Amino acid sequence: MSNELQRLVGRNIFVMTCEGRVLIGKLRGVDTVMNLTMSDLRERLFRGSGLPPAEGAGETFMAEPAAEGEGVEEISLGTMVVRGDNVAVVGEIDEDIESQIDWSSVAALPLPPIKH
Amino acid sequence: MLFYSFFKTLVGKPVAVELKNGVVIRGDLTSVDQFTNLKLENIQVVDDHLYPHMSSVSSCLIRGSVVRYVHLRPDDVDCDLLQDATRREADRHKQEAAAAAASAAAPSAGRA
Repeated sequence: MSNELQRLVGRNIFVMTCEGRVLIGKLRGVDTVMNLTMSDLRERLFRGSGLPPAEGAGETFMAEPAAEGEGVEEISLGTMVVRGDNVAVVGEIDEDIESQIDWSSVAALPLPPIKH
Repeated sequence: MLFYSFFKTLVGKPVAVELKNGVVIRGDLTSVDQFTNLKLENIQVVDDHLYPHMSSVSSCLIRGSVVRYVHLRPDDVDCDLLQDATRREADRHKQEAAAAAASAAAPSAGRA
């Protein structure tokens, strides 16, 4: 399985941690226990206060702008190693879709933490 | 190892994986390893208006330890075959345990 991750080295990836944090950055290296070294790392802070505006289409996050102060904030974390047992999901980012999303207008609650 | 083999038969099939934080990710299973880490492609988060966090993610690798459920299509699972395989594996474990106990008992009996 580390082969699958090895393939993503040098690419921009998404990481969901067990605390429910969302990290975006360039994958620099992986090992067999899924420790990840990432550079240009950013944490996306989701700080919506409640339910998002409309039901229905999956595109709601694009359509309705977030209320003041509820949009996604990004903070730079530089280079970090994420310990493997704290990793929940590693995702490959589709740059075409990514460039179309205005994250500052997305309002959502933070992801719940993983409960074992 | 039985369920590793089982998941290998599901490669290419659509599955929905529920994580231990309640997020459900739907996608096509593309690979699996012995820790039941699952690789999915063409993913879609169920309730994506609640969880837009992964809307730019096209394929992902889910750590086996954070999986609560894997939802499957009924047609993709041969329950009878799986039950038989499970019993066979349980029998094999029992026999191995008995053999190990016997070989552990034999030397101590010799010394006594």
